[in-house]
Amino acid sequence: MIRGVPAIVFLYVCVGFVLFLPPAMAVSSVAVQTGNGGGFKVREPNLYAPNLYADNLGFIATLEKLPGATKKRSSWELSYQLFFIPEDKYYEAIRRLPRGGSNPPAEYFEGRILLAEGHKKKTSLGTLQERTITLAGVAFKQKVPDAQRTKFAVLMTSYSVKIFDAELNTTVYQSGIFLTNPYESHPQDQDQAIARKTLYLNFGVNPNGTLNYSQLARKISD
Amino acid sequence: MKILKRRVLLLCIGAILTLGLSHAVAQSCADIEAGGNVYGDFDCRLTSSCAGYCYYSCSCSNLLYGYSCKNVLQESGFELVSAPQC
Repeated sequence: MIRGVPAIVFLYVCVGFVLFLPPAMAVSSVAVQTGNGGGFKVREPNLYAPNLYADNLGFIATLEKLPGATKKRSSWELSYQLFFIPEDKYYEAIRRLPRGGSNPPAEYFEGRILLAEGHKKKTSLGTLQERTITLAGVAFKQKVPDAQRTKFAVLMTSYSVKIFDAELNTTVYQSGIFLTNPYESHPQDQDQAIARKTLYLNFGVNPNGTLNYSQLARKISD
Repeated sequence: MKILKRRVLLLCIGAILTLGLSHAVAQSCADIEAGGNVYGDFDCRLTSSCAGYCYYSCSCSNLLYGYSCKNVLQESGFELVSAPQC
């Protein structure tokens, strides 16, 4: 049975673990970005806006940071699918979700239209160029029925990624979806909407083995 | 006394497991945060995940007259930031 002193020491360890747990470890915070392509807007339902649909889309996936990028055994494997979801179908699906956070699979969204899909494995990752997967000329506007070309329809990137970092000797997995609208803000005038021409998918492995992931356009300085 | 010690031990193991599990859950962000409150409905999509933060882009609908999307989001506990901090 437990002796008195070890039990008390153990209790202290427990209390210490609770008290000194770093905030970022204790809870993942939610924040709404108001700039840099994020922000919030009031949706006007079913607003016909064919001018906000690009004829073709580009797709750029980048593994921005990888501590073991120059190691031969490091690898990056990515599967992706790009979809269009009509606005009415998207909001029907959203209404069926429980309140709060959800991670629905791509199949959850009925009426989605597949625009592109692919799978790639890279083992030469020494330069940023080598850690970038690009796809150009994905037909978009012609695949969307005219009546469904509304402003608040949705573009969805469904992805699954596996990264092995030979420096950290760690494998990182992540899968999920990113959702965005067919339009984006004009770089010089945030109030003006223009057709989105590129979808981004960025990953970064931190020195502690955790993964950053994002659908934001990469900064020029990166 | 023995029973008390055993209970304390079980309580500690439970606390560690709970914290460990919540840590694992906290590591990944929800792809969608959707809901509503007295001011209106919101639909937030994940744009970025880094340093323990989940960044979202949101749209609102069914706004209560005189209130903004900002009111809806703040009421639901979102922190408004200018751009991802990492």
